[in-house]
Amino acid sequence: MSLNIVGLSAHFHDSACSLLRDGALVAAAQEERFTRRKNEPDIPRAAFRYCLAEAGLTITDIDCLAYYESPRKKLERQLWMGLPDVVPLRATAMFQLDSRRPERDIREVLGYEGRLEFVEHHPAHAASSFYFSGFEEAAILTVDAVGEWATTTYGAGRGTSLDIFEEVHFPDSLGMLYSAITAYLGFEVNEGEYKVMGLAPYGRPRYVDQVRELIEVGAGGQFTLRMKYFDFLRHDRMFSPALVELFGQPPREPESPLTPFAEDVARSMQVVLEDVLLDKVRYLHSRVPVDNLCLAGGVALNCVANARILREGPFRRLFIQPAAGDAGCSLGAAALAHIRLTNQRPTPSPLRHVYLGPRVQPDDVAALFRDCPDRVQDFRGRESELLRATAARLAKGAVVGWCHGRMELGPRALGARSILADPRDPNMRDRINAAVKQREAFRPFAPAVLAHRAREHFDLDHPSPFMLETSQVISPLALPAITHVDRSARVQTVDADSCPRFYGLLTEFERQTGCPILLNTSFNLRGEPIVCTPLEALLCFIRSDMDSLVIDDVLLDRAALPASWLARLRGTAPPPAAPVSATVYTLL
Amino acid sequence: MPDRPDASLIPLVRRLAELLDSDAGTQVMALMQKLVLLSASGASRTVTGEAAPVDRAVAPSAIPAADAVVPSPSAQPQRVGIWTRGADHAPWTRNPALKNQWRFWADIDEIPAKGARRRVLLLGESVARGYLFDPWLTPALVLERMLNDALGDGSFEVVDLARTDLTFRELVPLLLETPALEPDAIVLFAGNNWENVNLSMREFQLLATALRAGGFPACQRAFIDQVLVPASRAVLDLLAATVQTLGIPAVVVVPEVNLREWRNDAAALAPTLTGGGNRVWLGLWARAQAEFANERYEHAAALLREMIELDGGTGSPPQALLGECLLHLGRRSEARAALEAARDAVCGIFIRHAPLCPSAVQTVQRDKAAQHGLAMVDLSRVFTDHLHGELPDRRLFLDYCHLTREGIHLAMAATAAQLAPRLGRAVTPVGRFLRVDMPMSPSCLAMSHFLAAIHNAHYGQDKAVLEHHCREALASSADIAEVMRDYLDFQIRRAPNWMCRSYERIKDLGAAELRAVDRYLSPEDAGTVDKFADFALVDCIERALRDAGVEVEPWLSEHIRREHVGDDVNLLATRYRAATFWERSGHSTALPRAYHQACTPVSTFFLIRDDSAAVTLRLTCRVRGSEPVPDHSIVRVNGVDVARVPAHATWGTHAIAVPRGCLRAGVNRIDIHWPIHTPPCPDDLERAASNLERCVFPDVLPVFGEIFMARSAP
Ligand SMILES: [Fe+2]
Repeated sequence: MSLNIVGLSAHFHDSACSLLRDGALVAAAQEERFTRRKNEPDIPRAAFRYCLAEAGLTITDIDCLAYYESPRKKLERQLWMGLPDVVPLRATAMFQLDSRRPERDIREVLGYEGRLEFVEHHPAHAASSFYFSGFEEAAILTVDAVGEWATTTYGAGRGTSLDIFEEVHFPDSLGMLYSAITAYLGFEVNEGEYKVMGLAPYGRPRYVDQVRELIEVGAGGQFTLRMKYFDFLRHDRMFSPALVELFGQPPREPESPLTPFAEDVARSMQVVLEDVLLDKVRYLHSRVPVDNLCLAGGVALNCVANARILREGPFRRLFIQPAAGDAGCSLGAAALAHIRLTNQRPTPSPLRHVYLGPRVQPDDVAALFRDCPDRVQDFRGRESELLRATAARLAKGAVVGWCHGRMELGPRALGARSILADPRDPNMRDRINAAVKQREAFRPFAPAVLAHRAREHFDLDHPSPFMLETSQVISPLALPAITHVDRSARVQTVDADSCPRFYGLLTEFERQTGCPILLNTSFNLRGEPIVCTPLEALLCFIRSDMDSLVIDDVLLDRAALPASWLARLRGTAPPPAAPVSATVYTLL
Repeated sequence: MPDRPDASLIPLVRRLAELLDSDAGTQVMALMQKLVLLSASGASRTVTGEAAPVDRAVAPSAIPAADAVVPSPSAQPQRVGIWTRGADHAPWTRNPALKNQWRFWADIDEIPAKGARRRVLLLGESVARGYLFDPWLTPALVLERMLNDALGDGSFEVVDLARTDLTFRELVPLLLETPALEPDAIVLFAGNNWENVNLSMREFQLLATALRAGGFPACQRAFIDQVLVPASRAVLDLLAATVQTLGIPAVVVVPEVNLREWRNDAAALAPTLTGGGNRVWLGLWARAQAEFANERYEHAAALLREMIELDGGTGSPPQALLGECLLHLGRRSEARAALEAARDAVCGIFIRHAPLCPSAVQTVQRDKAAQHGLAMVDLSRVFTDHLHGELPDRRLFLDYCHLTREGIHLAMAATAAQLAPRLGRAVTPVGRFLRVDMPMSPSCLAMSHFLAAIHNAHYGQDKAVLEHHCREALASSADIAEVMRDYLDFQIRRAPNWMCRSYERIKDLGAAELRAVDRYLSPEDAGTVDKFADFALVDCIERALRDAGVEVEPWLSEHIRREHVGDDVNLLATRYRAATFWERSGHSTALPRAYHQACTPVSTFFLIRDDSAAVTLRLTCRVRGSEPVPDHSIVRVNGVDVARVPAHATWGTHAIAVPRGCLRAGVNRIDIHWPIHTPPCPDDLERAASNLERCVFPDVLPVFGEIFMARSAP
C-alpha cells in the first residue's frame, strides 16, 4: 500500500490540487483548467478527481489531505485589518469571515472523510520550493501578497527540517505594493503583474523616489508600507488618493493607450522591487550562509528580479518551482503533511518537470477526428515524420498550436500546451500578439531552447527549465520575436529527459534551420485559462489565427479546416465565465 | 485616524478569532454583518441585474416599483433588446457586440423605424418565441397575419420582442425600452420563467427562517407569498404604468401548461421532510403505485392524499398520480386541481425543473389585469373552452409549456380579438381570426415534431410522448427519416456535433431548418458540454424508423459500439449516466459535489460492450445516515442481481465481478438499488437553512446513495 497525500489550495485565487504518492509528486493541476474560469478560487473538485484518477486511486485510498492555510489565523488577520469596525461591512466581506469554510467544503463538496491537516500558508510556499529543489540544504525566501499574517518569510531548510525564523507581517507586503502599482497602471491585480514587469524595460526609472516613498526598508528582513498610500485595508481598492497625488497623474484607465509615464512607473517599481529583494536576500544569506536559495510566493514569478538575485546576490544556486504562486502551495501542503506522517522528507530528488496534469488520451483524439479523417494527418508510430512536418511548417513561418502529453502545472506553458513559432521572424511577435493571443503588443514572448545550446544564445550558465528567470540574448541569430527591448529573454531550457517530444521538435527545427530555439507562449486566448483537453486545443486553434495544430500524433492545418467549422467558430470567444475579481486582492 | 490598526490589539483579535472559529461563530459573524447592512439600508429598490452583495442585501426584490421608474414617452433609449437605434429614420439593427445573445431573440436583422402601420410589440419568453417552430412559425408572425388578414387592410405590424429564457432580469429593462419603438399596443405573454428571480440577501434570510420554522413547505409558501407574488405584481404594475404613460392598450396573455401529460422529472420525488417523513412517504408511494396499477383508484387516491399531507404540497409525483386517479374516477375538476398542484409543487424549493407558470403567477396576472384595466387572454380558459372541458394535452402543447401550431393559433386569435377594438377597429369575433391560415411546409412541421421528441426525451418524459412526436414527424414528411438517422449518427459520436458530417447534412437542408437546428440542437458551448445517455430516445427513433420502413440496424449497433466500447470506462461520465438535463446538472441548485449523489432509489448506468465477456465493476459508494441499521445496496446488470454491497455511512470501495454472460454486445444497463428505508440525516434541514443564510442554494432532495467512483474494467 502506498502512502497517498493530497494537497489543496483553494478559496483565494488559483485553487489547485496535487497528489504525493510515497513522497513522489504524481499529479497536480489548477482547477481553472477544468472549470475554464481563469484563477478559479473555488474548492478544486475537478482537479481533486483528476489527481486520484491519474494515480488509479479512489477517495478511500487517501491517507491525508492537507490544506494550504490556517483558517483561524487568517480570520485573526481579517478581523484585525477591519478595525475599528469589528463587523466588516465592505461588499466583499459578506460571508468571508468564515473559518469553517475550508473544512466544510472538503467534507461536503469533496466528500473527504479522512485525516485532515492544516498547514500555514508561507510554510506551504517554502515547502513547495525546498522539498522539491533536491537541495540538501538551502536558505528559503517566500514573498507574496499575504497568507494568514505573513507576507514575507525567511527560513532555512536542511534535510527534512524547514525552519522559518523571521516573518514580515501584513499589511507590509511587497506583493501588495507591486499589485497596487499594477492597479494604478490600469492592469488586473493578480494577473497584470507580468504586464508591469514586461512594460518596465520600455521605461526609465524616473519615479524611483516616489516608489521608495511607498515603502520603508527596515533592519534585518523587515520593511513597512506607508499605509496612507494604500487603501486595501478597509476598502475594495488597492491605492489611495495620496498615491495618485504622489505620482502626480491620475490612474491609467484599463485598456487605454500606454504612455511613457506608465512605462517609467513600471520601470521604477521593478527597480525598487529588485533592490529591496536583493537587500533582503543578502540579509538572508547573512543568516543562512549556504550556496542554495529557494524562492516561492507570487513575487517569485518575477523572473527579471529572479535573474538579478542570482546574478548580483550572494547565492550560487536558485530553485523556484513554476507554480510559485498559490497553486503551488498545494505541493507544499502535501509535502509538510508527508513529513508529519512519516518524519521523512518526501523526495530527495529535484523536480525535473511539471508535466503533472491530464494527458492527451489517444483514444479521445481518435474519437474527436473519427468523422473527418481526411482533415488531419495521422502520424501515429511515425514520430520523426511528425516532427519533420511540424518543424517544416514552423520554418516557413507558421504559428503552431502544440498540445502534447500531460499538461503543465503553473502559469507557464512549457511545451505541453504551447503555441510555437519561429523566433527569427521579425513580424511574428506582432502577429501572435494581435491575431492569436489578442493581447497587448508590448509584451515579449519567451524562447524555448535546446539545453545544450542555451549558452550559445543566452547569457545563461545553468539550466532554466521553468522559464523563471531572464537572461541577455547573446545569440548570433537575430531573434526579434523573443528579445525584449532591453535584450533580455525569459528562457526555457529543454532537455531530452524531461520532455523528449518537445526536445525532438527543437532538434528537428535546428536541423532544418540552424536555430535551436522556438518562440513558446501559452496555448490560450486572451482571458481564457490554458487549454487542457484536445477539444479545447482544437477550439482555441479554430477561434484564433494559428496555422497548424498538433495534438499528440495528429497534425491539422488551417487550410484543411472545413469552412463550416470556421464559419461557426472563427473569431468567437470561449463562453464567458463569471470573472474572479481583478480590481483588488480579495484579502478577506 | 492612524494608517493601520493598533498592533497591540492583536491578542484581542486572536481571542475573538478563537471564539468565532466554529460553525456557530461563523453564523454569528454573518448575522451581525447582515443586521448592520439590512438596518442601514432603506427600502430603496434597484433595477434588476447582477447585484453586488451589498445591493443584494438592500434590494427587497429584483423589481423596481412602478412609481420609481415611470417610463417617459420622450425617453429615447438607444437600445431595445439586442437591437440598436439607427441614425435618423434608419431601421434598428442587431448589435454585433451582443451576438452571443442573438439566438435567444427573433432571428431578424432589423426592426424598421416606426411608419404608418399600427405597431404591436410582443414581449414574452420562449412560448412567445414559438419554441421549436421558430423561425418559420412564431406567435408574432401569426398575430400579424391575423390582424392584417381579418381586419383586411395590412396596416398592422407586430414587432417580435420575445426572448427565450426571458426572466425579470431581461423583462424589466425591456419594458423600460419599449417607448423607443413607439408602440400602439403591447402584448405581454410571459410567466413561465418568473420563478427565476435574483434573491436578495434579505430574501435568502426570510426563506432560511421559514425553512427552520416549517421545513420546505413553509419555505415554499414564503417564496411564493413574499418573493414571487410581490415581484410579479411589480412587473405588471410596471407594464400598466408603461402603457398608461404612452396612452396605449396592453394585452396580458396568461400562460397555461400541458396539465394532462407533462410530468415533472420523476427523479425529484419530494424534498427532505421534517422528522424523517421521507421514509413513510416512500412506503406510501410504493403502495399507491401498486394500487394504481391494480386500478384501485380510490385506494390509491387515499394513500396519495396521505403523502400530500406529509409533504405539504412539495411533492409533485403524488399530486400527478392523484390527478390520474381522479380522471379515471371521472372527477375532472378535482383532477385539474391535483394536476395544477403537481405543476406548482416544484415551485420555490430550489429543485431544477422545466419552466412552468404556477397558479400564483396566473392569479397575479388575472388580478392585476383587472385592477389596471388591461385586456387579458386567459389561456387556461381559452384552451378549456376549445377542448370542451378536457385538460390541455399534446394537441395544444409540444412539451411542458411550448405550444403546438394549434395552440399558437388559438392563443393569437384570442389576442387579436382583444386588440382589434383597442386599436380602433370593430369588435371582431375570435372565429374570424381563427379562419386565418398560416401555412407551414411539411418538412418544417416534421422537424418541429422531431425536435419536440428530443426535447421531451431530455426532460425525462414518457416514452409514449417521444413515440408520438417521432410518428408525427414521419407522418408529416418522410424526408425527416434522413434527419433522424443523422441525429443517431452525431448524437452517438463522442466528437461535438459541429465536427460531424451528419450534423452538417442537416444544416444543408435549407435556411429555415438550419436556423432551427442551430437554435435547438447546436450547442452554443461548442461541444464542451457532454452529450446525454439518451438511449431510450435512440430506441424510440430506431423503432419509429423501422415502422416507417427505414432500417438502421445493424449500422446503429455497430456505431454505438465503435464509439463507446472501452476497457476502462468511467460510468459516472455524463455519457453513461445522464439521460436528462437534470441528471446531467443535478436536480438541485446546491453546490455541485466531487461525487455523484443519487436522488432516486435507483441509479442507472449504461455500459457498452462488444461481447459478453466478464468485467469487474469498481465502486466507491456510501449511504449517509444508514447506520446503525445494517443494509445492502443491490447491483443489477440487465435486470439480474450480481452483487449486494453493504451500505455504510462512510465510503467503501468494492470490486464486483460481473460474470461472463451477464453482459451482451451493445448497450447494457447497470442499476444500483439503494436501501430506501434509510432516514435522511437529521441535520439536513438545518444545513439547508444555514446555506440559505449564506446566500447559497441548499440541498433539497434526500440522497439515497453517493458514488465517488464507478468504473468498469476487464
Ligand atoms: Fe501566497
